[in-house]
Amino acid sequence: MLETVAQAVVNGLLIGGIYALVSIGVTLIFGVVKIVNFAQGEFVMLGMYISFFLATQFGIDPIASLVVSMPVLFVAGVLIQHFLIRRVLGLDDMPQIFLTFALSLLLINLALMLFTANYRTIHTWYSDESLHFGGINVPMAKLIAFVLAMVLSGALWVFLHTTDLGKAMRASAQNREVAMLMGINPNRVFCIALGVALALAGAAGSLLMPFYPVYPMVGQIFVLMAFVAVVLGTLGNVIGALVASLMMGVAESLGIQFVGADSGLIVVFLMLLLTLAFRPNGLAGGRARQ
Amino acid sequence: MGKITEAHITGRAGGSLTSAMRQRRRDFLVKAAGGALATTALGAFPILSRAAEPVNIGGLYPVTGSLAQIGQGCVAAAKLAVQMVNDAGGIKSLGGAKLNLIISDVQSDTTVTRTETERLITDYKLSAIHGCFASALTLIASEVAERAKVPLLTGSSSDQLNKGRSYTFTPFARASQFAQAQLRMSRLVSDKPKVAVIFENTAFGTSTSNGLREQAAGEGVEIVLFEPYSAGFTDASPLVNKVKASGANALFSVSYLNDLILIVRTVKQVGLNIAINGGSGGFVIPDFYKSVGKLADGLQGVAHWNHDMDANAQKVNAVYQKLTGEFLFEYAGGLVAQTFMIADALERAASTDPQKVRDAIASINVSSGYAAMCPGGKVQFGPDGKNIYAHPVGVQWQNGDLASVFPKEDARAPLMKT
Amino acid sequence: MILGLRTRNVAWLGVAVVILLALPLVVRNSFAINIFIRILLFAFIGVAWNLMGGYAKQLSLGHAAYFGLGAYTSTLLQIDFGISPWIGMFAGGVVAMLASLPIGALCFRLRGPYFAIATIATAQVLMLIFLKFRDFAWGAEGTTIPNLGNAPLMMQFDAKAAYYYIALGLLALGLAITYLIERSWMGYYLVAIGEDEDAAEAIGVNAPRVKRDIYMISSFLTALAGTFYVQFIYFIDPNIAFNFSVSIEAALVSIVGGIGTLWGPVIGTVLLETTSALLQRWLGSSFVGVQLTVYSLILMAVILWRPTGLIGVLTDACARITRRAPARV
Repeated sequence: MLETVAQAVVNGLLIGGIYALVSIGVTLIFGVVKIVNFAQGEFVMLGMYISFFLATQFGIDPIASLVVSMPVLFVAGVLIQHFLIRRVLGLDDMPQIFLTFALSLLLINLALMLFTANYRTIHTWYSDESLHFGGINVPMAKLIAFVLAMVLSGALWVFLHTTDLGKAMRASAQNREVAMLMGINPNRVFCIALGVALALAGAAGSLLMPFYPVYPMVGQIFVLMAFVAVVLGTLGNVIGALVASLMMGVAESLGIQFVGADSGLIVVFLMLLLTLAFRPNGLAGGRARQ
Repeated sequence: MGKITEAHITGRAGGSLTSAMRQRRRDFLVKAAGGALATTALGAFPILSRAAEPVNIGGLYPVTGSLAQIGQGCVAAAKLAVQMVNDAGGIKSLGGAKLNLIISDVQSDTTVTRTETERLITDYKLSAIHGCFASALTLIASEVAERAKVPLLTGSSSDQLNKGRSYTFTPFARASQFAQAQLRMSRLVSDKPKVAVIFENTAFGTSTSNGLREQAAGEGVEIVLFEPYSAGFTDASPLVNKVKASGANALFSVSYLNDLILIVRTVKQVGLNIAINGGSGGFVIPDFYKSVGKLADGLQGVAHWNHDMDANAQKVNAVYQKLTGEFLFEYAGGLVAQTFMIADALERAASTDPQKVRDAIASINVSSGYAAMCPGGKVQFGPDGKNIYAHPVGVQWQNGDLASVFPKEDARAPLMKT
Repeated sequence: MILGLRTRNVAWLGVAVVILLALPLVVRNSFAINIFIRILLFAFIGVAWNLMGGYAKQLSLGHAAYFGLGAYTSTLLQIDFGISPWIGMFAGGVVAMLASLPIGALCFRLRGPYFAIATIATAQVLMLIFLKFRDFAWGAEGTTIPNLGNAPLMMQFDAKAAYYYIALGLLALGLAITYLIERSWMGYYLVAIGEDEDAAEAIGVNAPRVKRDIYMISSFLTALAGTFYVQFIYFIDPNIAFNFSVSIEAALVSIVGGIGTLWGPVIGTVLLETTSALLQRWLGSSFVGVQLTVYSLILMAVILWRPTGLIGVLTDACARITRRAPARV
């Protein structure tokens, strides 16, 4: 029994790491640019397809392909901010929501047109391997993904707290006007924010490829989890998003284990609704509602 | 809307209080223009040039949307089947009339299925229809066909299709029969099968799993886990964990392709040594093997049709394989047989009138030829539209191909030991 | 002046009504009628959404919850108790209204995109509940409605035109309600809340109550559409009833057409549905994903170029065509 619980917790944490990469991106964009990127999942999908093609055409391992997927998505982020998002900033919610939403729809359907709806998978030498600790089974591909997800999250934290650019981003997130008065160029900061967030999404995609199939709609599941994690972890709070993602991974896993395998989503939604009911500002609290 | 999953599916209000009258007039103009545009555009679609001869039959499949993979294969098979009928001389009792297949893409969408079924029936004066693969879509098409009094053949296994209708015919095994076959196959692997049943929680999974639960005791099988899950999960580990904890020695998974891939791979990752019966659906299509590779070998499933059943099936398979590069999968092969059943009915009815064709289908009795291409080799419909000889065939992945292994009469290859 | 409207405009409206009423008698092509039914139905759903999402800027992406509740209520009443869907439709509306109270109480705590996410979650939860509890509403397999042939009292008709008229009636109802609200105090409150909720509250608008009230109306209307839909496609299951694409389309047509305007959703629906039908005709099954790609491009274009919706374009174009004498002060 204890072993079952422990296994469930481990499973949850491992997948939670992936959720974290996606949700950190969402919360970063929200905190800095103040918009919700409904298309975040589709960038995970793009990262997956990039890794897929590199693996099947050139035999490059998905982990190695991080050096391609992350920069590519970073550039994509910068371009999207500069040409699309900048034009709806300052307007109210509706254009902002529906712009990224339309982007999501566009990317999914372009993928459908270009790649078809078929599921694509790859096999690496570690795809089906597992490590065993006591009675607990830890699939290698997921462990690698988790570790790298934590490394990237850590790297982001360091970036935000030690580099000038990172501090500029945090300043813009806290108070845009004052940041501008301090000489920080908002558009530049936003471009970096989008770039970083999308790069993280792309990384999540590459890390997923060894153990998860890619198809045009794959991003939707992950983005849903990410949104809930962002709300739970308090909007704009990167550590909050990370912790919330891990919590949600575990909650989902325990829900599946002990409530019912079709309850994973219900458990997660319940967490969301309860949080909204009792701590609408998220678990970290303190941040004023928008 | 109403997508079987997906979809993918998926400003200031200034001026809202200006003179509504002015807006109303202008916007009426737009509305009328839009309506006129729609009508003329629709009127412009190609008028089928019909000689007195060709017989129109309809094929409704989800060529786009989430079920696209299967739908496209079905359409390829449907066209091939019609070609085969026509090359053999068409419908001789109608003076060699050719079959004319009207394909419609139901986009994995319920509203579209509704309107497309109707459109095909009214615009093309169909004599018969076959489709739609997914249960929900087929149920809707069947309702429309029933009210329009046009016969519909389908390989869809939903038991609801045989209730209270007289224009729907199902030549192949029903969901409850699949369940029974699966249970019996578990006895091949172990004398005291303890089965974990996991199933996706929409129509396909629930109907099949209900059948499993109802018949397990009668087949001497103990179900130790009965777990619905939400399709499209991110991680199969919790589910597989549960299976492991249940102490089962066989796993029945009623799933669509994506989940099956994850489940099979996770079972391997976890090091769980368990016999897997993947049921039907996503398990018996070539994509499954492409996605999991060698892991698939030895896995068992059930199908309502397989390409090694008889010489005719193998012949069609060879042609299809040349066309598409993949073997002829369950649903697609079944609809080839259905096309020939329709042709047979047309021959006997000697008319394109849907009512007469329906009666001819109801009285069909074949045991040879492409129309009889099904497990058991015979087709005859009871009053509820079920083929009284229909039963599923147990299959097993062997070296990248799907071989029929159960029951004895239908086995075309020995069971591979795992 | 008739009913407070200028005679000339009433005349135009009259012509429009006559044409709409006569349409199914003139156009016999069943496919065309189906397109019109779709347009009318989705315009209606868009109008219902627009009351809340357009005027008050409460951007719900979970209206499918009410669509589904309406659909299931009338179907349950029909199959389990033999009650006519005409009554069931109204009952479904009431159920939806009641459901909107706790959902609103929960979701209105958030603003903007997080409100949207919460509404998405509620529709999903409802879908999951209906999928899981097989015993009280057929679960995942869904059910067909009994085949009663031509039974007007049970909302089943042989004649396609009947469905057209019902959809037309629903749309007229929705537009009438929107028109009345637009002109009432509630309309002003809604727009005030939509522009700046805090400022509105500061000047004394009871925002929570207004939001609650409009949510009730919006959900009631959406539920009516749900009942109609089941009667139209003869089948229901949780995936269809609570499908995210219903929520999306409701919002989409309003945004593209003209958010917060009376005719916006209608224009948006005509444009999008016509595009969709044409694309299906021309490109059909050869290209997967083309239709939605085009939809999303249209949506992006509208947002980047004219966020208030295309109604603004048309209004301007017409203003240039029909130059009016300036109002005399």
